[in-house]
Amino acid sequence: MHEASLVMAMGEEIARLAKEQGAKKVLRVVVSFGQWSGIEKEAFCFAFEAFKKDSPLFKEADLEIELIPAVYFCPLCQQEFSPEEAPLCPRCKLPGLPSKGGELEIKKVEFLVED
Amino acid sequence: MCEHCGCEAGLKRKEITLEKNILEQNEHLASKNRKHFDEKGIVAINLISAPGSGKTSLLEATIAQLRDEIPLAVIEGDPETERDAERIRRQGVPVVQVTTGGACHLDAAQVHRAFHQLEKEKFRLLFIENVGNLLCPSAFNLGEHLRVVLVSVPEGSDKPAKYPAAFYKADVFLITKTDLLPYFDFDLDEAKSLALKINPRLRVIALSAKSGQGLEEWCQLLRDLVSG
Repeated sequence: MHEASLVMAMGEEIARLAKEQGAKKVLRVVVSFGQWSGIEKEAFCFAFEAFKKDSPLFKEADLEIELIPAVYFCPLCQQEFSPEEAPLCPRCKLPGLPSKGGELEIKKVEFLVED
Repeated sequence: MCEHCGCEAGLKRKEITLEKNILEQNEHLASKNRKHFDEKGIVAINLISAPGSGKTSLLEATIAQLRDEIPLAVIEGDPETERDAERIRRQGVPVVQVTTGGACHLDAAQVHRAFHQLEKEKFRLLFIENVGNLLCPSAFNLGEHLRVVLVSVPEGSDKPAKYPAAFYKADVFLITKTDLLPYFDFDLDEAKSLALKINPRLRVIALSAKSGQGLEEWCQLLRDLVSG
């Protein structure tokens, strides 16, 4: 439901960067979302398509979405691990702390700029 | 760009690696809020749940328990109306209603503005009742010290599995309306273990604002937070 506001925030951020770079167009946007970020991939794509219609700078932009699996950290063993079931440290079996998985990130942007 | 036909002669592709949080602006404002709270010695609590899980009832019961010990204030987030704020105002506690105009979550900027409206009040504990929604508010950091997610007994014990994002970033999981346990197939152990699978550091408390069961454990947690 909040995918539309995320697309708007992302658009503002990229538009700012485009201005800095003197870019004419945005060609490609790569975003990465954590497993527990709460983002519905389809809803985000849908919101992006709607956004493109009203934003000339983004008219030809392609969107790529990468998903980041959840990673936990064991404070006792000082190591990260990717759980298959419950997030228990494979070494000491104690619960780990969430480390990766909540990301909402603009990873890369490709612009068309003056040669 | 070619001025005659709009073709791409004289232009090149340029890729930039950003690795930047989409909600960076919100994160920035949230850290300002946090600093603001800390400077004034205020502990802020963000309450997140689906509509009707009992956030406002919990606040009423909590206020009744704590108001003689800890000065409190409340920021109420709703898509429309002042109804929740009126319920809190009746308890004699300073309250600001934020109506989001249909939006599904509170953001750090709204909390910042609401906090300024409370400037003249003296309090140590600030409750921020988010818009009733178990999905969207979890993405928006408000600068709070403690994030609390609520699920009520009628909603079912599999909620944590359906809405993992809300639990992943929370500190406390409150199972509310436990007075209704005899009438629903709600498995307390299931709810607890599903939530802990997503976030093992969650503190889980089962309570009823109506009967008062479990309320003391919640209030003690708040007292401990305020006394630091």
